[in-house]
Amino acid sequence: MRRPDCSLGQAYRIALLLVLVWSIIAISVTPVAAHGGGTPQVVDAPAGPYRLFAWTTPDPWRAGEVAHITVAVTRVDAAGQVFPIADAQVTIRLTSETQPEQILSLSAQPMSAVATGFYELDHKFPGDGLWRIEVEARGVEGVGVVAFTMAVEPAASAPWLLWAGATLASVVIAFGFWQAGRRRATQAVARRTVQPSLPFKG
Amino acid sequence: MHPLVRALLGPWELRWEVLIPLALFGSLYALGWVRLRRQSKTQKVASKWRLVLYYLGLGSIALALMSPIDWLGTQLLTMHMVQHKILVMVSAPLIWLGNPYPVALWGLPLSVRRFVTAGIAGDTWLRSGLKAISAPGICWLVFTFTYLAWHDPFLYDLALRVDWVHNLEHLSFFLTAMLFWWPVINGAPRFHKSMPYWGRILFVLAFVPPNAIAGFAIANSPEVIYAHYNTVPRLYAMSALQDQMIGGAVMWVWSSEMMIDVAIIMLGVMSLKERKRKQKEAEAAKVMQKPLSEQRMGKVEVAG
Repeated sequence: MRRPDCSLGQAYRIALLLVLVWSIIAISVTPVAAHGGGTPQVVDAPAGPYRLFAWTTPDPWRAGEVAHITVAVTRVDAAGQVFPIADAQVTIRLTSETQPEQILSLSAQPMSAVATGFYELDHKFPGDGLWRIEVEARGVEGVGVVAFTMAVEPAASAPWLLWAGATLASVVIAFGFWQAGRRRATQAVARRTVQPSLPFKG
Repeated sequence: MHPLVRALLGPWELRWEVLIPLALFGSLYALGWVRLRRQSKTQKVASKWRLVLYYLGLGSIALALMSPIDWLGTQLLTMHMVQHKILVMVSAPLIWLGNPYPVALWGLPLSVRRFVTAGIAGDTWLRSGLKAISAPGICWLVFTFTYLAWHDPFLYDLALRVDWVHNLEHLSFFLTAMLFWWPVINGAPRFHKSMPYWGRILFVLAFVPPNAIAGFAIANSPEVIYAHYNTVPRLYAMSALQDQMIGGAVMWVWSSEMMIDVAIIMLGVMSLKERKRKQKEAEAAKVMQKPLSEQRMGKVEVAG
């Protein structure tokens, strides 16, 4: 068998083409942030003509960090069949219980075409303490409101995940260097032991 | 149209953490395949059917993690089970059948290829680690334990609540499934003696009882085991309990059936190889007999 050809040529052009195709696919696909799950805060709560659901992530919420709220707006017909409400206007009002004058009114956006009836909101909380979260769903059938309370914890002193990642990366790099050094040393010993056995030319 | 079918036909989700590794491994394989094919079109290492199986494997990963199945998995246990089955029962064996190690290796630049082969073929920590972890018994235990452990209600609900735990769940399912299928498909690099076919049959069939018990228990539970599914709207015309029944059946039937199918295929391959061996032996015996008879005839002629 011939030795495989490693030159820059057709193979690299094909790879380049593949990368290009992948990039086109990546750009043309609509980004969808289909966050599933989270901690349930409101489950199947009757709110006007609707039944609302709400989930929050991460757990716990911290001041200065992005908090995520997912809301599902549904309606139940006379037969008990549940339908998603895709065209609702979902407003989320955040009120600090320690500073009631601090009220934020934000609009949640539809999540994706697959997650029909689901709306989401990302928001960075300005301060810690207790916050009242009021979810209002407005649609052609009417308006529904539910509320729940969330405890926002003070900002973390150090992002532990970053530290853990950095430690792990350092260990892996150190291990790589150690392995490389060990291999070089083994090769050097092998070279030294091979030399005396070379044929003696007198 | 049923709401579930409508949802399944919905748009795919772009996830860079999935797309980038798929593009990377897909490109490496393509590059290696082209390089190897240039040497010989009839070689077995980089054949056309292996190329097709490898890309079907990558495609099935994309299907499991970027199609509406991913989102629906957070709403329905059935779809979550389907997602897991695709990752462990379809993607992993298809990728192994594509012979990824030697082919993708040729897609790497020479220096990196040397580095990788030195790490795998030399006396390194990487080789010892891979050798230890690729022992068939370890592969079976690691996969079965991981697979069953994630079905614990606490871990399962945690995965559905926290995004990174969910990603970890899928990653561990896929990686341990790759371990499981390694000795079955006997993929390269090989650190152990190939398992005989009867051993591979036992290996896959040994997974049927624990999987069937877990699937049966989920399908027949009178209560909703995974609390998460009680907290989502029932938009797909099935209650949480009905969904759980179907999800449990998917787990129980799909995996068991897959393992039995693999065992039947192995049995077929085994009998085919045995028949070929016997045929070769018979041919060899004929060749041995021929000169002897000719010799006898010669003697008769001389005697006459």
